Amino acid sequence: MIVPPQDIEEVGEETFDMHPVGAGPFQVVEYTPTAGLLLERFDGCWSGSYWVVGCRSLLVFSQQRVRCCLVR
Amino acid sequence: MTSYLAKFLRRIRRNSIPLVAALAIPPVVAPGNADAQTVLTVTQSRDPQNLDPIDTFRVACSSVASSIFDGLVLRNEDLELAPGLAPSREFLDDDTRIRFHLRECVVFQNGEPFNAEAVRCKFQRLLREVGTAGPQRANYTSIEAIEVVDDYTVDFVMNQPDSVLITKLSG
Repeated sequence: MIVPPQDIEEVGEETFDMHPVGAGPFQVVEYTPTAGLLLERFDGCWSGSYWVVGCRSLLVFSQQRVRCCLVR
Repeated sequence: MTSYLAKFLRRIRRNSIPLVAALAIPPVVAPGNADAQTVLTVTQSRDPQNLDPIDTFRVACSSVASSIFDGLVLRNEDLELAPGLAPSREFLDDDTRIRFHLRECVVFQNGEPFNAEAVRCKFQRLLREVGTAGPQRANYTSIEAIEVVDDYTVDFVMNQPDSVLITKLSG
């Protein structure tokens, strides 16, 4: 998984851990460990094949309580 | 400024949004496309804790990392190797040199161009001090050096042939 060298140089390793940049179909908008992760579609992505997902944003949660609330 | 995630979680804790409403919450993105308001909510059993792909081996990270990052080689839906950021490769010098031809016109999400130098920096970072703190480095020690041939061609010089390197690169 290839990452942008200039960005890491500029923001530093610790910031990159929480707010990394890639070349994939979704980019990090906000990440708070244990709380959740919000990704937004990256329209400039080289690959169009992912757009079949058809969503603009991805929200990822791992807390048990939140997961239970969401499936109820 | 209250974050989108914090607001979302507060509403869930107050039990004020059922699933359907949760999916319909206006996201932070500006409307425009027909699907601009669509939010896919995913739950998984573990939190990634760290999103930098060289710092972790955890499934909790790779499950989201595959949406954020691309590798030189990918696996398709049938688990077959497929072209990623490098559409083709050549095995040279008795398999001790692997030449990757890179996709042109690829940009990272910050606008930075993807090129052979980005590939070299990534593996240098992995094989040197930053990588030694994480679990990924041991998988790539068969790489002796990364040589930039031109902007879109890069050579992996191997200290020994590694028959599973391509599989490892596919994530």
